This record gives sequence, C-alpha cells and structure tokens, in this order.
Amino acid sequence: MLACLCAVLWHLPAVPALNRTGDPGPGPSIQKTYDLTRYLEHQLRSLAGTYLNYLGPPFNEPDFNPPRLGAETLPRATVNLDVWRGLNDKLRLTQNYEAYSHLLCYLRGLDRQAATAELRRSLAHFCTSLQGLLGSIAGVMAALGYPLPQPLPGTEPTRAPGPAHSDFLQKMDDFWLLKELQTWLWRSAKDFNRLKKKTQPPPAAVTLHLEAHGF
Amino acid sequence: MGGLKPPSAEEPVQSGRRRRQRRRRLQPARRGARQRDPAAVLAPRSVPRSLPGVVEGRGAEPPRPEGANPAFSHHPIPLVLEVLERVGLEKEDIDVLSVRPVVKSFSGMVSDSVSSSLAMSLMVSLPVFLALSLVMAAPVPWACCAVLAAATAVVYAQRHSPQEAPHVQYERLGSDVTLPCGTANWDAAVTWRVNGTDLAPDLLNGSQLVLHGLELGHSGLYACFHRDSWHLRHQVLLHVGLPPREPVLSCRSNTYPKGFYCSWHLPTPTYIPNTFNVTVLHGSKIMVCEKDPALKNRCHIRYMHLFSTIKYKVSISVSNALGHNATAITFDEFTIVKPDPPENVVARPVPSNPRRLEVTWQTPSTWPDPESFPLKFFLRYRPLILDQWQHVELSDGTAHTITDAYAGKEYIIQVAAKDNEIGTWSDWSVAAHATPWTEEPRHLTTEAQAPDHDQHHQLTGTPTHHEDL
Repeated sequence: MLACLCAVLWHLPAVPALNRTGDPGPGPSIQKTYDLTRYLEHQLRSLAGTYLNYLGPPFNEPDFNPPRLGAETLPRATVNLDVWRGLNDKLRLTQNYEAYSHLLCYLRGLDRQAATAELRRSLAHFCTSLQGLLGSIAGVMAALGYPLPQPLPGTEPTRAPGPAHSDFLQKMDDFWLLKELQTWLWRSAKDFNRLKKKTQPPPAAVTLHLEAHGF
Repeated sequence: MGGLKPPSAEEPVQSGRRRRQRRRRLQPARRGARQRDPAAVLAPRSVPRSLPGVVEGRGAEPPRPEGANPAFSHHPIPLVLEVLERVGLEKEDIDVLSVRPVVKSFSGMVSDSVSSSLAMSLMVSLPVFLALSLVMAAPVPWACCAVLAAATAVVYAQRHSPQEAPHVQYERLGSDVTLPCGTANWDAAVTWRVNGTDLAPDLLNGSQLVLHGLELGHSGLYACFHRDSWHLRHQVLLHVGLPPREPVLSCRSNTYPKGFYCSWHLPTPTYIPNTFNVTVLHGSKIMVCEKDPALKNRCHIRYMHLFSTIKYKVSISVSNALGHNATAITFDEFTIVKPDPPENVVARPVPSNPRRLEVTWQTPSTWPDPESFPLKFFLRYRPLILDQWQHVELSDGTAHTITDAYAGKEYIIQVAAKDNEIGTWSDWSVAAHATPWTEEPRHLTTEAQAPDHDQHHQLTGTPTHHEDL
C-alpha cells in the first residue's frame, strides 16, 4: 500500500564537489561524517527507547532476544571480520551509502497512524539527520572520485502490504529496523575511523588528494 | 573422646599405622614374645592363646586348652612361612610389616591382604588340621600337605579377589549420617576408626556409626574392624560438603574485535569437587568456548562476525555429588567490550616548570587493533595529601601534560582506556607517582649562579633549558 518514495532519494542532485583549490583532502569531510554518525547514534538511543515503549512489551524489555525471522530485505551490518578488514575504500563507502538509503526509506514508512505526535516529530527529525549523513557520505565519495551507487530496478525497498502481515509481525519488523540502524551507526563509526587513518594527508604533500585515490 | 581428626595425609601412612596398631593388639597376648622376632610375632608358643580372637570369633570352635596338642603347636611356623613364601614375601618382609611403617602403598595393599588372609588361612587351616589329625591319626605330612593346600587356596583367593576399596561417600554439611559396617549384622561387634584413631563406642548404633551435625572436620577415612580379630570389614571415605549455589558468570571482550572470554565462580565454596559446563549460543548457532590454558574458570570465544544484531547467550551449569545449579546471561556484542588498563604509565617532572607533570602511557598490549579500533583515555590525578581527583578525558594520543600541579607536592596519577564508541571504561591503571620540578636550594658559595637569570625563569615559567654557565 505504501509505495516508497525513495526514488526521490536516489536521484538526489549530486552534492557539489568540494573546492579543489588548496584542497585539504577528504580528511575534514570524513571527520565530519564520523561526527555525524556519533550524533545520530546518540539521537537514536532516545528515539528507540521511546518507540519501543510505544510498541510495548516484549519489545521494550532489555533481554528481549527474538530469532531473526522476516525483515529479510533490511541491510545487515554484520560482516565477516577479515572481509570487513579487507574492504577497499570504495566498497566501504558504497556499502554505507546503500545501507542508509534503504534504512531511511524504511524509517519514512514507519506506521505513524497510531503513533503520538511527539513520536512523529522525533522520527521526522531523525530522518532529516539521517539524510544529512547520506549527503555527507556522498560528499566523501565525490571527493575521492567514486561514483554514487545507482539503484538497480526492482531493488527499491517497499513495505510488505496487506492484511497478511499481522500487527505483531509489523512490530517485529520495526524492532529489527531500529536494531539494524543502531548497529550500522556503530559500524560506520569504525568504517570512518579506518578511512580517516588511511586518507590522513601527510603534512608536507600538496597533491595528497590524488594519492588518496590509490588506497 | 573427641578424637575426630581433620582429613590427614596420604593413605599409605595411615594404613601402615593401622597395621602396626593391629600388630600391637596381637602381641600383648603372647607373653614373652619379643616384638621384633618374626617367629614370635606370628607363631606363638601356644596357638589358642596367641590368636584368641581368631578362634573365639568363629564361635563354632571351642577354645583349645593350653598345650593340648604339643605336636600341633610347632607346625604353624613352617605352615605360615610356606604360605608366605607362596605369596612372595620373605621373613625379612614380615619384619618390615611388624615394625616399620609402610613406605609404598603397593606393599601396604599386599601386606593388608596377607595379614587378613593370614588370619583367614589360619582360621581355616588350624581347625582342619586338628580335625584331620584327630580323626584319622593319619601321617602328619599328608594332613599337613592337605591343610597347606587349603591354606594356599584361601590365600590365593583372598589375594586375587581385590581388597575392598574404600567406599566414597559425599554428605551434606550439617546433616546426620549413619555409616553401616559393610554387610555386617546390626549386632556384630565392631570397632570404628577414623584416620587411624579409635572412635568412642557411644557413637555406635549397633555396628553402625552415627554422626550428627556433620562438620567439615568429619571428612576422612572411616574404617570398621571386627572387634576382636581386627579384621578390616569396611572402609568409607567420607567427604562433607555442600551442593553448589547459583554460579556467578560474566563475559568481557578485552581483545575486540578478536573475541571475548567468560569467567565464572561459585559465590560460596562447596568443599567437594565440582564440574562446570559452559555453552555459548549466537542465535541458534553453537559456538566453541576454548578452555584457558592457565585459568580453570575461564574460556575463550572467537568472533566470527562483527556488527551482529543477534545477542549472545552464555549458559553455565555446575554439579557435584550433592547437587546441581545453573545460570545464563545474554548480551549484545558491543556491551561487553572493556579494554585492559593502559600500560607503562610514567609521570615525569618537567625541568624548570614547578607546576607541570608530563604523563605518558601505552595502549594495552591485549588490544589487537588500535588503528581501526582506536581507544580514548581518561586521566585522573591528585596530590597524595588530598582526596579529590582531577579528571581529563583525552580522545587521542598517549601523552598529556598536567599544568596545574601544586608545586613541590607528590602526585598520584592513573589512566583508563575505552573504545571510542562502544563498551565501557577499563579499570584504572597501575598508579604513577611524581613530584613536579622544584628549584635546587641555592648554595651560598662563590660559584653561585647569577641571581637575575634564575629570577627571570621563575617568573615567566617558560620551559627553557638551564644553560651551562
């Protein structure tokens, strides 16, 4: 029933390229992106608390530990340790960008009919911040010369429609969405830490942004 | 009586003591027999009086009058010695048995079987011999051989059937226990001993030993003996303890992202051996927890995947002879991250700066990847004479300069570490001590430094080096 309007997101105008003259490199924007992930993680903590309370028990219980059923299309942060270590910068950034695009889409589709006005406001605020993060990631990718990932036809996330999806299962989906979002934000912090260290400009070099491409 | 001793040392010494005491019981009956004479020990002048317990214990055979059968009184010596030869012991060994405490448990076991089987074989052989010689008046050598064969058979049967090993029993602290003397009748005449010490008869209920309100001191080796023959009937190795209470389990990752470890302990001791069983579940997948090579209450799990949304569940069960208990904990990957404290914390005074201290440290060596998983640090410091700490949080670097130290006061400084984004702070490091630089007292000599130069440095407080004047 809810057609996702994420098409809009994918065709965002490209973030204006960073001013290349006297370029300090992608370092500052990586740092900014890192800071944004921390800010969002902090914001999410209070949002998730409120939302899970709204969903009610057992979702708001601290040791609620359900098996991961359904929510198949959610982008999963979990990754093999060696694979994660070995990701090249382009892949690392791409995975982050795609994940947050999907997650933002799902967040926007959260059922707001029953939610309180306060909750709706918090959700909307968070969505805006998340969009800011996406823009920031796009900026880093542009600075490093990587193309923004284009959506493949048919992979746009949509919410499962109809009465077949019970109320409880819907709530489970919401639970996993918030959980995955939190985990992605923790992962991104580590991802950007890694990027920060690797693309740190050596003090003397001038053509450092060109060197960054080779990493 | 109060002769209940705490659990004593090895068995061999105990059994040696027991045997020696048993020997002593036999010896007083043989008047005039020297203790060290093996023949005197085993082959008295008149058999009935030397082994009164043996003959009387049987009940069926009436005691023989002294000197009734002179021919008989000499035969037990070669009979016994031949029996012993068959078993593989020499006369010299008998000497050892009677006098010295046992050195090896094997010889102890054999000796035990010999001494008890000796009594047994004599019990069997003597009446048989008597009967035969009286009834048949047959040639003594023939009867002797028959008896010897019987005795040997008994000895071999005794020797090859294993000596009854002590029955191991676990009982609960504070409870009451009744120890039966093996298969003996309730009205059998027995004596109980614990760790070689006699127990008062008022603890007995017939042939059973009754212990009330068990304490830890009650643990030990209990043995019951036939009162007169001192034949060992039954042994119980009693352990007094408690069933286990709910174990305390905790898990921690000080080597993120490599893995984590879990450690456990019991809140109160059980005083008896316990076995622990740990299982780790990640969702529905079972993970292996490898035992720590050094610590027996710890095991290690390796992370296969990072950034997992599925919780880990660690369960532990503990059991011993008296009971069973279990507990479990569930947690997310991120919540158990806690690094080890920073290492090698060193604090140094800064020359010419009476209010500064330079502190350096290293990231904990157990943290595998500080590049991708950087740590932030928390520094606290105070002069020894004050109680209140000053705190500084540092997001980067492994050095810091304190600039507000009180001049001339000794400081104590500690550092803690935490992953930048996840988990909790480490414990505080080992403390470093330092006192800020103070000016050397001026010597009133002609080689004194120019006063103006020194005044200048102190007032401005700039970190300059003293140049050689």
